[in-house]
Amino acid sequence: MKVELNNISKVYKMGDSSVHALKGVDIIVKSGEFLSIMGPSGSGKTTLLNMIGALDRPTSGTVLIGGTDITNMAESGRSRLRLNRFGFIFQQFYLLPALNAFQNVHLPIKESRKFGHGGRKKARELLELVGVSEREKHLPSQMSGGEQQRVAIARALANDPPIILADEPTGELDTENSRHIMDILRDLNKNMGKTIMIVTHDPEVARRSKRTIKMKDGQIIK
Amino acid sequence: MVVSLASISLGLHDASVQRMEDSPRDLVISSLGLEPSIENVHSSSYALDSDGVNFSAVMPLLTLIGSIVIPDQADAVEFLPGHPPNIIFNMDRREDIGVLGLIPELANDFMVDDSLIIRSERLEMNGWFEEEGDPFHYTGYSTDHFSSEILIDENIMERYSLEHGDIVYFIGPSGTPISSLRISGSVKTSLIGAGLTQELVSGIGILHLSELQYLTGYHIRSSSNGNRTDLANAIYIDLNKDRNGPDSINEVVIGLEQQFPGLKISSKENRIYRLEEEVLVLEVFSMGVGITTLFIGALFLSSIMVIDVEDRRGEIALMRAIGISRRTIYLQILKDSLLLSMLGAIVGLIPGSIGSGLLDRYLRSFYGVDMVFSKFTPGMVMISFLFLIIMVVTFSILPGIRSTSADLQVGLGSFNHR
Repeated sequence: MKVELNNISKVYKMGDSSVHALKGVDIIVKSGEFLSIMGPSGSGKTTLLNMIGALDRPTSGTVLIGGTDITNMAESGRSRLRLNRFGFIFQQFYLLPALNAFQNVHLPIKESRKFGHGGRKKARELLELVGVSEREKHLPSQMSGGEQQRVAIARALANDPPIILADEPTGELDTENSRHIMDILRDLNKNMGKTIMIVTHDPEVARRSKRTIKMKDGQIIK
Repeated sequence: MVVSLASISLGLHDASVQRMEDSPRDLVISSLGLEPSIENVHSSSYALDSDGVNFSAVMPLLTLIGSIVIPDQADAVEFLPGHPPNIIFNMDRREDIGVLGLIPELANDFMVDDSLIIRSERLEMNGWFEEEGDPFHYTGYSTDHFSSEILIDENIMERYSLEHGDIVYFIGPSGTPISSLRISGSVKTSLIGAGLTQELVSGIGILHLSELQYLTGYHIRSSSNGNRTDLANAIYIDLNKDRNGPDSINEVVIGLEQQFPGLKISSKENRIYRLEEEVLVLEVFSMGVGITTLFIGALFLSSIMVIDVEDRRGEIALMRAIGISRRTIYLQILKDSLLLSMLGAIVGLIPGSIGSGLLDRYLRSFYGVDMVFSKFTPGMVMISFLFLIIMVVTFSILPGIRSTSADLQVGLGSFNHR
């Protein structure tokens, strides 16, 4: 599924002043790409990812997902898009604290009703895929950071989305766990054909992607 | 609280109507004021009783507040009106009582299972008058025929350890004993509770109608043309079964209004209607308080939900971020509200039922009657629950909208890792 951003700008109003988070960004990400986005803090990496993932709307420009312009799409449509077309992985894992690992993964499956009665089986398969099936009854607070991030990856894969958006997925992890997470993402790209877009500060993470873009002051510089 | 008040309201209504419907009388002729004003009550009652077409039973009744003195039975003496003994009465043993004057022979028709039904109140009789007619009246008020019989409240019997055959003294308008009375039976009634009735009297006593009239001054009154007049407050009438239809009752009522001008003729329907009006005030009050309480509860619940939603803003934002629809999130909030309120309602049922019972006891005590004021029914609980659900749904709309309209970025930024 091709992602195309045309002349995207994003301006945040902060009282009387304005912050230009993105300034006329153009980017095309082909289906099955493994892309990393690097840049210093405040360069607009996360904002760019949010634009692609329909978590935010640009001030100007257009976002096309699989050829469909989602820029002015209604919230219900964007919500369905996030449910079925994107998988999100966040730096701080963002697992629902009251739900155990299985329930966290099963939540979007239940919402989409994509797998019918096989939803529970699918959730267990995903937990097994990322290597935390034995922790399915555990709450997030009872798991390590690495385990939580694996559960978050399983949740991102819940409805078999073609695009995975990861915002500094290894930012909170040690070297070994970071390597495991990157191995999983690489496998997803290589073996399952998922389009992966990773925002990172870590050159080592970026090195494992197929293409890297660098940002500064809301613009792509390389 | 809602359940308590609703149960009281329901209980009051049902109990009142039930007691009215249980009453055997269909019509009551009564004075407009408190003063006895039905003249020639003996002859009028017998005339009605001998009608043979409309009425199956007739009972004249004189009710007033009187006083008795209970002597030490070892020193008690018997004396007739107008023949006071030369003794010192111990006025410390004086009791104010509600006194009923009736003609036993006619009252028999209003007896059900040894109980006399008067004004929807069941008076359980233990013993009765030896003289069932009213010879004192028919023999021209000759004290030779003064029976001196009285039936006394069991409360007083117990308090003074009285037995059947014992003597009490009746106090006349002058404030001194004017006749001795012999206890021929006792009466058990729920009229005397710890409330208003007990503030006025400590029990009841029942006498022959003519004897009570004589002792209190409501007997024969000479008028300018020499006619004799005996006064009472009411005449209770039981209609013949075939005259019990609405049309027949109206016809009878019109006839009685012509026969007894200036008196009040009330049918059972009138009385139920009036009673329902009185009860309605209390019902409206209790339901009003109940609904207000429910509104306050719902507002409180809404506030809790707003705070809860605010606290979970990050989680809700995350759910939206991964594609969970607003509808699902709102339904989840609604489910939480319902769970919370149902839990509160179920827990509240326990104090509610206790409160209902306490209110019932208080009202019984206050009114001094043995009525079921509070009725706790599954239907009433269901209606309260249904109302609560409607309120919860209504009051969770605002937090629901707030939760799903917040900015996603801001919401995710406030995600709380517990």
